[in-house]
Amino acid sequence: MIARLVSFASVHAPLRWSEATLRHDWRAGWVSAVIMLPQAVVLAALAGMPPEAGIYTSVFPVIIAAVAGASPRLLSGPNTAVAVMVAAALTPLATPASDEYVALALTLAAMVGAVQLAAAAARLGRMLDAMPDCIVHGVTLGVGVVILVTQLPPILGVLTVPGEAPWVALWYAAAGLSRANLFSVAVASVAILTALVVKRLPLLRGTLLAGALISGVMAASIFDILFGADAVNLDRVGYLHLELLPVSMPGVSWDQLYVLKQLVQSALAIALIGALQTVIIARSVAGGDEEIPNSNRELLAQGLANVIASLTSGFAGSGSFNRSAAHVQAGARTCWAAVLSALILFGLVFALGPVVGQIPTAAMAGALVWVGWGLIRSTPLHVMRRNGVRSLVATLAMALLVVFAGLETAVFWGCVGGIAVLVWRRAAGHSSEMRTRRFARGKLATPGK
Amino acid sequence: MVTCAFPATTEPAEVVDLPPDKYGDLVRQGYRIFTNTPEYGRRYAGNVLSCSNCHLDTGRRPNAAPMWAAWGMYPAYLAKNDRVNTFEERVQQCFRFSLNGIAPPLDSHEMRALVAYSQWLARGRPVGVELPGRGFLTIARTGSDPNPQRGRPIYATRCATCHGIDGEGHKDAAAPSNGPPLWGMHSFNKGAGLNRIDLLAGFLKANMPLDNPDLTDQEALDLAAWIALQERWPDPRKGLLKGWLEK
Repeated sequence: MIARLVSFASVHAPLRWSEATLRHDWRAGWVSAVIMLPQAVVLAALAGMPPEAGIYTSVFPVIIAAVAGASPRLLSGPNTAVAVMVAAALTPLATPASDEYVALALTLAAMVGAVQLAAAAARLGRMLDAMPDCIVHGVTLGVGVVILVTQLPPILGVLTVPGEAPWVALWYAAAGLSRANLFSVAVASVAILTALVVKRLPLLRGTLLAGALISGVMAASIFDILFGADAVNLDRVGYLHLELLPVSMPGVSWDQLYVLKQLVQSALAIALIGALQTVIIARSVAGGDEEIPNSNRELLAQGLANVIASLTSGFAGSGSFNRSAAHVQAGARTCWAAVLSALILFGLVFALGPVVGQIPTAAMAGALVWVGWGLIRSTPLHVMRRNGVRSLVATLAMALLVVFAGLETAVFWGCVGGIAVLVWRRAAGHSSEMRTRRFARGKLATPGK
Repeated sequence: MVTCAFPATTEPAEVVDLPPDKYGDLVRQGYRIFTNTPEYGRRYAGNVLSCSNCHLDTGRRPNAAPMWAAWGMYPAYLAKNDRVNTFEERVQQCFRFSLNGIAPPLDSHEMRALVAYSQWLARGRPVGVELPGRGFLTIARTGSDPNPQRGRPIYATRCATCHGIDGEGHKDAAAPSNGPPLWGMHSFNKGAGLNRIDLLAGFLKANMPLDNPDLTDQEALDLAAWIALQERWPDPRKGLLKGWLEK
């Protein structure tokens, strides 16, 4: 395994590692680590996992995926859509953040990895290229809506019933208005406003989430000092307990075999969405002749990363569009920039652990509203500009399915539709030029946003 | 699975013998959080105290706020915050005041485990009945005010061996006398119930020195006055604008 990775690395990180390359990679590593840290905590919460799991997922799988992947500048780790899918798969089976839930998440990550590795071995990577983009865009849009809606109750400081359909959260929020915690609303508002302000400062653009969370921590601390923590009564992330080598073992106990069927279904959907997203991101960050997107290789790398996640107390992930885009913009050149970012992040977390523990749930909800709104706002325009109105309609249909029928159902019907289109096109006989055209389109989409 | 590493030596037979199902697991996790809060409840615990440092005998001893007597008495009106509190909210207060930490969310895993453990301790007991041994002893008037200066030498002779000269406690679990810290940065804060002289005196009278409680009423009161006089984290109920908010 190690020998294999080293051979990967030597192919991908050319030995001509000049001082300039090193400087660029170092800088990009820092930028990415700062962007990654708040995402790690927020996405862990979204996946129903303890914050430590988000951090581990942002370290070990990221390194593996960067070294083993075809696109050395693609950053993997926790991903918004995948995190929502993990929560949707596991919440009916266990209490979020409990030992039981964490064990199920490890097993799910191992299954996702196994599915992706098997698909890579069967050379199914090319199928990913042929799948219509509107599956991923529809899921992204739907997930954006789901996040936006489900964060309303935590902003109000109101509990919901876990496992209910996402749109029910709207009702919980409305029904809970009278017992809303005003401090919670204030902290979330501070977080959202900070994000709005930071967005307008070009120098700080990458630190948007971090800014939102830090301002949330500060607002909550000020409220605590002024009014007393008991009256303010805000839920917080809680103290972190990190290990340098968080070894874990996925598995299902014999008396729990009945959950396997559900886990396999979820694993298939997550493996597909994770791989599709990664391939699309790889196309959009591709630059230079040496980075020819190789979907099968990306599939393999994601499979390895997810298996590693399951062995290091993490959860399933995939490529991350916003992190990869910022990574490339910050000047990353080789895969070592991603490795550096993961290591810097790990160091940062050990230093900032106490602050992370004080993040109020309301501030995270505010940050997530921002994330969800970002997905909702950018996706339809993006699809419209690149693929036209018909694709937009398909994307909206997918999104509606996600919100009202659930993620896995949406992915299933999206695939059925995608394969139908594929068969139809092949029958019409213009499949060979399609792939080149799609690639050209993908490259045109610069990672600007 | 990930979480099979736990000290098998200290768990009483009753806990070990719980059925190997999800309910048994939850009660067992509650037991672990209860008896080793800094480790198993570390997400929300803010000091080195465990629940079982005050709720003696893993929450069973009468007159040391046993969980079996508390379980059936909630929801209850508490003057502390002037409203009806559920059992879960009362547990949140323990985390906020006695453990000087973060209140675990009502739907958190830790809360569910502690509730399950308490209910398990209370099995077979009547609900809504004030059971003898509930809470702490109430000490009758002694005719003399609690005097910290009389408590000081009592502390030095009777308590300091286990709890340390400066109330810092002995963290070493292997030591023969490992009392928890009674004041300072690692102990309960000023909002905790045991920072009240009457409650602490009742606890001391019934339980201290551990397994050999022989303090007189007056000694218990003096000792409590001395302990309550020491430095500790401030009361989380009191903010700079507390009065303003209450208007």
